[in-house]
Amino acid sequence: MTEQTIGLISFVLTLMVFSYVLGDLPLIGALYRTAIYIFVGMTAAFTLVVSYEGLILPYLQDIQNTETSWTTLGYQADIYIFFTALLFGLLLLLKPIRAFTWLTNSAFAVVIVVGAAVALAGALAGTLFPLLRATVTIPENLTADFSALVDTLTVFIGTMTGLFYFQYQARANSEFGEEHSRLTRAFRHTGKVFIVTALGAIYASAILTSLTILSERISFLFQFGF
Amino acid sequence: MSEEFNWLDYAEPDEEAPAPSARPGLRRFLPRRPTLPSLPGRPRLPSLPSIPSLPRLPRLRRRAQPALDKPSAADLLSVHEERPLDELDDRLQSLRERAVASSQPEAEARQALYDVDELLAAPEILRKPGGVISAAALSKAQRQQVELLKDIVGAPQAGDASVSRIRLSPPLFSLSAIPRIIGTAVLLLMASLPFVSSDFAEGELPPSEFHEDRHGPTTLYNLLDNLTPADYVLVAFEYGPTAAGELDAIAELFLRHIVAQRAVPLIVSSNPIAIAHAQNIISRVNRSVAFSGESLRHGRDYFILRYLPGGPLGLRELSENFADVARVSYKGTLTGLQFDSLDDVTYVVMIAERAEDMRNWAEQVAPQLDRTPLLAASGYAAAPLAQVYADSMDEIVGLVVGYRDAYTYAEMLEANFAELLRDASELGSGSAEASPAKIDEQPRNEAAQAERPLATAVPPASAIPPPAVAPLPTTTPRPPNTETPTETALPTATATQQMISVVEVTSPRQVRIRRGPTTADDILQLAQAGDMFQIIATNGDGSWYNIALSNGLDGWIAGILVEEKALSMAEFLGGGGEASARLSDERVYLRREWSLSLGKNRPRYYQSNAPITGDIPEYVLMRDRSAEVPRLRAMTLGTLTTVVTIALGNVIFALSALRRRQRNGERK
Amino acid sequence: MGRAGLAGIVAFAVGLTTVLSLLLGNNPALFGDQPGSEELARRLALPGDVLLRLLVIVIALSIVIGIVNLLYIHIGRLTRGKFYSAVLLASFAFTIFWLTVNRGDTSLLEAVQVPIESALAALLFLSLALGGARVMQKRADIWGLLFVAVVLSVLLGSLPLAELAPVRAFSAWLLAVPVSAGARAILLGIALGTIVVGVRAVLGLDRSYRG
Repeated sequence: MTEQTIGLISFVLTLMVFSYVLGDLPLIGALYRTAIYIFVGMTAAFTLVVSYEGLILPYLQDIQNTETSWTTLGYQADIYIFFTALLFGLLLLLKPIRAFTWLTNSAFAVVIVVGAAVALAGALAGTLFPLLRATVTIPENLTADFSALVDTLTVFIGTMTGLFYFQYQARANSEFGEEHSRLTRAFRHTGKVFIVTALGAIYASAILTSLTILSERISFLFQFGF
Repeated sequence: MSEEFNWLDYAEPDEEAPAPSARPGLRRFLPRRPTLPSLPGRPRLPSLPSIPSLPRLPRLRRRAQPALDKPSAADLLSVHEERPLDELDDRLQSLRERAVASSQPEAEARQALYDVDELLAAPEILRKPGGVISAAALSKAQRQQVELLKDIVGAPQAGDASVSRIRLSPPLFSLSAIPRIIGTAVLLLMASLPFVSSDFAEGELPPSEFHEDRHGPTTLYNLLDNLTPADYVLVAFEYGPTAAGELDAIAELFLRHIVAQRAVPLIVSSNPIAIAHAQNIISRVNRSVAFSGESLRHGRDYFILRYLPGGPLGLRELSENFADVARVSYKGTLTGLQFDSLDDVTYVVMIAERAEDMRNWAEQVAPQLDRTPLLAASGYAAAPLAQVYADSMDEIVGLVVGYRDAYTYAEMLEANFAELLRDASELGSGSAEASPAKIDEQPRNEAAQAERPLATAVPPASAIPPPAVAPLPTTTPRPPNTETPTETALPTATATQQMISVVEVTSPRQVRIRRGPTTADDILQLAQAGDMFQIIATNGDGSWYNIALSNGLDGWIAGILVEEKALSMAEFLGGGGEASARLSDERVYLRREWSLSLGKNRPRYYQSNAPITGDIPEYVLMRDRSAEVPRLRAMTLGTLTTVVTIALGNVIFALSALRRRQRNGERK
Repeated sequence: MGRAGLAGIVAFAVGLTTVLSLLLGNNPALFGDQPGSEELARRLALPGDVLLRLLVIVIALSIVIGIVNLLYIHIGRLTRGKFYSAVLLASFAFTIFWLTVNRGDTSLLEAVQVPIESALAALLFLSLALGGARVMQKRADIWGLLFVAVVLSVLLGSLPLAELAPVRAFSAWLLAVPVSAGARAILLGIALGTIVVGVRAVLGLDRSYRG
């Protein structure tokens, strides 16, 4: 495809999607909707092709012979792995059939538990330890700089109360109901201040991201069309 | 709803109520959802690994309603489905719609199987219905968009079963739509003005260097700037076309920076569309340098490795089995790359669209890295959460955020490469009288030159016209039909027996070389055990050494990580020294660069004291930057307008709420 | 026990193996400097390694199945005369055809997918900006006020206007201190939740895989 063709198609499709701002008028609504359906069809196609070419095809190469094999386990071991995976895929399809429930459940158990285990190991080593360590570590130059001391303390208090707020929220909804201790209230509200602040910043950041993307689209429309 | 209604403490509907049974017919092939009643208070197990109908869709939808479509909401509210819709109050109706939206099969599918952790952990705070975020984030129009997507993927509809007519947005010509129309028009107009006229040049352009307080981005730049031709860099494209408008700029810059120094990027992604998109970015780079005969070839200059499905699972496989992942490319061809682990690549670079991408990399990849730093960039939207990882983990360097940082990065990059050219040319003409003495030694160095593999990638000798600018004698011996040496090393007649003081890195871990003698200073370069550097000076108490770096700069290294030695220059340059650690002023090179003048590409020959890097500046300098400035202006004006809109809207609503409250008080 | 218990036993065994393999494998330092420690670490990593490979292929297959399912739904609708399903199927078929004929030329992505997705994300700006203006309509209280104030500060702080230098400094502080603290709390909360659920899943206390 030449750049001109790409530009032209992009131009038309961009306008089709932007027609959304005009509301759901009889013809214009159809433009937007058509663009969305084109997009979904194409996403499905690309995802399918990438899943096949990016993973299944390499494994098909792998299990043929030693020359095309690329794993350290060797192609014979991979044959077992690959066909077990195929079996799992088949079980996915069999799920609605009651008679196989016990079998499919065992397969799903493997999938879920491995996923949960990976998430567990990652959360420990990648979030919990480093973040807690960073929050309780006292920077070297702290004593010299009063504002740095205040900031470090604020981050510490904010993190801890925020976390408390989380846990409190979780429990208040299930087991204990409303709690009225003044201390927990203070903790909860302090935590909430930090959480709402963080959410506000995330919201503002989302606005900035979408504005950046809008500026790119408008820039393209002007460059190509007007 | 009472005035005291608390958006965060809102009690969920009774969870003991029967969960809805699987809807017949609609998801014939999809596994049933778990029907276990769940306590909303504690994190939930992943729902069934149902079949992903469309993995990409939820991402779009999620952007439309940040943090709300956690599956738990569906369970919370599905109990209301049995009641007639009209009985519910407004808030519950909207909640219910949202709930049904999140029970879409594709939403489950994506989250259930491979975003397991995301689902488990749907933070309570984000799950609470009716919160500030939902008030702001999910407009009626957006809910209708969600309905449309549900229609596409064949999910049950919110209302009745008829899927034929879904309203896209409120009717244009109604009274209630007027503020929306005005707001939309003003926002669009303001964001477009800078493209129409340069009179709307509000605000300054981003700085040409990162702010001095931002060590992360500066360090990231410096590290990437220290690549050498033998280096491999793992580049993770964790963003799809949705974020292309924001992150293409930075991704392209990273790629250009890497390939300009002839390091080899290895591209991976856990997002299928991103893999296809990465190929387009490579094509874009190739188009920009096509005139010079350069182009990036898969298998030589870059590799696209196989797809990593399953989010955290795929990334864990990458970090555990990198040796295998690197051995096969997309489409199954063998790459011939031999790595033992991720620590064998020089850097890992990651460009994230969402905070979850950053979290997945921080959790599944970063802890497995012993020596290799992870350099991270993200869009604005992911930055508040992603920055926490960059601040807390030593392995992660960054964060380069959004389009404005991309501009700064580009400025630094171009200044740096243009500097190389200018320095070289100045030196070439300025030291013309000094050069004849050195030329005598040139033949001796031709032999060394012949071994340089770098010469292979330049255009063939026949294509090179005689040098237009000839700072060096034109009598340079150059056999007509052999490959032209582009860089000729000319060691000056220095006394090689002179003893010099060097430091050898003794720490088994990777050592950081910094701009100044404190750990707070920016990192310039990394060094491994065994590397040697010449000492220029020490700081007051001798705890830090000021050392000469290969790129002509100097840096500081902590004394406890190194051992001081005295070597002769010959020893230093010969065996023991790190390959790239040379004294910058001990060598002079003849190098050829291409420059664009009047639309034509002309070679120029320089005498340079820069180290031999084989850099290809075209990759950096030939970017299309025409849209940058108007876009930045548009962002400025757009943000300004947004600020006014949000402030104005909220003041009006706050005042009317106050008045309502007053009136209620009077009535009582 | 019986068949239903099988899933639980399988889950427990597999889960424990995975966790141990991931935590202990490929980490010779754990076993001291003995000669065999490297080999031991490598062997310990093997079960996790095999399970990961297996799962990754299963996921790729399930994506394929999911797409087939989507097509199946729309073919069904097509037979009932739905126009847009035809658009979707045509778009799907054309893309596959294009990629086959042009040997994976991805310029179609550039021409179609990127503009549509970018334009959708751009529309989001309007929704977010107008939604932000309505916060006080739904929540006229101190938390709504705080939220709006933070949004405005961060937006103003991103503006490159010389007059706004003090706001920029405040916004930088806001991002570096309170937002960072809140974000840490959110991420730690997520991590704790993940760990609790992970442990429960491995121990078989939560069995959501039971149909």
